[in-house]
Amino acid sequence: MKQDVTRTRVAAVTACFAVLFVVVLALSLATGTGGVDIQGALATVRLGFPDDGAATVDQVILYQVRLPRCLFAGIVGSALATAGVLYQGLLRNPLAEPFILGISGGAALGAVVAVATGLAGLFWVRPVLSLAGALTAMALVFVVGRSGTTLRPTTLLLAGVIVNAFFSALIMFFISISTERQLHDITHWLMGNLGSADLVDLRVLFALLAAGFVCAWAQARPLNLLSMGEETAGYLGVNVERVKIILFVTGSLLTALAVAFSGIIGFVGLIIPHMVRLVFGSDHRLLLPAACLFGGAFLVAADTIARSVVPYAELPVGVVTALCGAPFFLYLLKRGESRIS
Amino acid sequence: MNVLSLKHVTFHYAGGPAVLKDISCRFEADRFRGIIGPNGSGKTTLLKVIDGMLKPRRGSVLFDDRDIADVNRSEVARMIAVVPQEGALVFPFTVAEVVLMGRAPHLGRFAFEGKRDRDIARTAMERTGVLPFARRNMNELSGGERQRVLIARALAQQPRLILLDEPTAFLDIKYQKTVFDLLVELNRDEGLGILAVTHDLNLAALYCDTLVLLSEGRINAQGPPGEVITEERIARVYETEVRVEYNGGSDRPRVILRR
Repeated sequence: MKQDVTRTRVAAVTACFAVLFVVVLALSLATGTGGVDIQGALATVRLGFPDDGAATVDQVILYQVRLPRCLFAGIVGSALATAGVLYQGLLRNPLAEPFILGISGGAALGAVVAVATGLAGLFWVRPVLSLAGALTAMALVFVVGRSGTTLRPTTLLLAGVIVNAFFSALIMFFISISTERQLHDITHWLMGNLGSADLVDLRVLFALLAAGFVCAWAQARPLNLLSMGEETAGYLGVNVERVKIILFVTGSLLTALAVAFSGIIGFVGLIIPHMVRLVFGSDHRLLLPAACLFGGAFLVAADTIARSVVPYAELPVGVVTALCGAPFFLYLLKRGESRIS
Repeated sequence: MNVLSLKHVTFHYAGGPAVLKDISCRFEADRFRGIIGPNGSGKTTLLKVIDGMLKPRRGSVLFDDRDIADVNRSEVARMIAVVPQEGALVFPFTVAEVVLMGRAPHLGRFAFEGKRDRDIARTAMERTGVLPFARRNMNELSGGERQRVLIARALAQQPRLILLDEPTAFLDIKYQKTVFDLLVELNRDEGLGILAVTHDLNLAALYCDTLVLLSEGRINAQGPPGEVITEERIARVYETEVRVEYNGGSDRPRVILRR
């Protein structure tokens, strides 16, 4: 039986997911091919990071390699899961996910152009170009998807599909003229990876995620009302067109943020919202914080597997999220189905 | 007492022909009034214009002498509740959650529903007989149950006027009667104004104090059912031959199709 959604319950569930996130983070920090055991890792954490000269190998691995990477994974996962919740609510479509509205196509084109032109060697060019691509896609979809003064879910979806298809064609073109070495880079990016953690300023990224989450959280109740239909939401006092624009912009920016630095990591934005919904119900005041934290924890875990399951090699994290995500999602879907009927 | 009045309301959708043409009427919000008319006569559009969801191209809708167009959406939702034709729910919400959504226009942006809101929602569920399945998912309910949940949500808004769009479409006669009996009770016991669009002439004639007959975007007739529903008028407006009967001294007409 589902309980009422009260402030206490939201706080309690959020706290549980926060604890889960921290536990996953700690386990992830202690896992890897470098051979830092948990006790050792915790001990060095307690000591704090000493001056450069005095740092042990363990401490360097922990603070300069694993910690940034884990935090980066957490931020990307949280951004994708939050964007997934926003898009599913905006489009009122359970199959909606952060990449459905063309953002991924734009970001991928930017990244591919960076690689194909050979500029990707400059460390900031690829994220900047893919961010520019993502924002271009977002603007295109908004302009095309808007009919008159209204943002129609079906038109948005179609616009997203078309923009994605168009960018895919351009990506194919660049792939066809790229060298073998470039092709490898491109494929690696397209499959999604978190290896660029050391290139980004995590504090800035976290601040942007936090700002996006606050915007999303402010729309939690309108999102609930929207799931009854736009008309009903309007009858219940929601300024529907304004809310839809806020949802579109917030969801798109969060997606752009994640995609620009980490490539296309699928499934997080699709399955995390559904997992949380199946267990805790559809109220967005609970769903948003829970999905945000759970998405972060999930990607940290997936990335840990990606970087440690094959010795001295790294799987693209997108492969791991899809491999774990798809079957688990099927299981939840079947379970939910049998519970309803 | 609250008065809703429409003054020369004209409306057309962008680029389309006029759907409502110079509609003027006055409605004391303690009555049970029905809006009838053929398909495409503008009934549903009229409801949306009254609620302020659609702005009249000309003319105005006044609730207690305030133009609805100047009132913010939350405040409108505290005065007027709408029970729309059933909308599909994409994500699972329970009956209690749906009814509690009726409290949204009374709450601040980040506020959670308090005990008072839950009490109001509970009373609304009791009133409409949906309390026994408060914890069930909306999509598990039958059409008649769902309709009563939507009415409960409207009651939770604590409005002064409820607009209903085809409340008995798809319902069998038992639920048709349940829903209309409930509306009459709400009107009689709580002085709640009811304005229901319906296709069912007999239900409208049986339950409503007064009827408005729309035809091609204009008011063709309004008044007590006996004055509005006559053989000649129905034949003209609906382009259908009917017989209108009165049973055992009742002043409620009954429309019978002829073949």
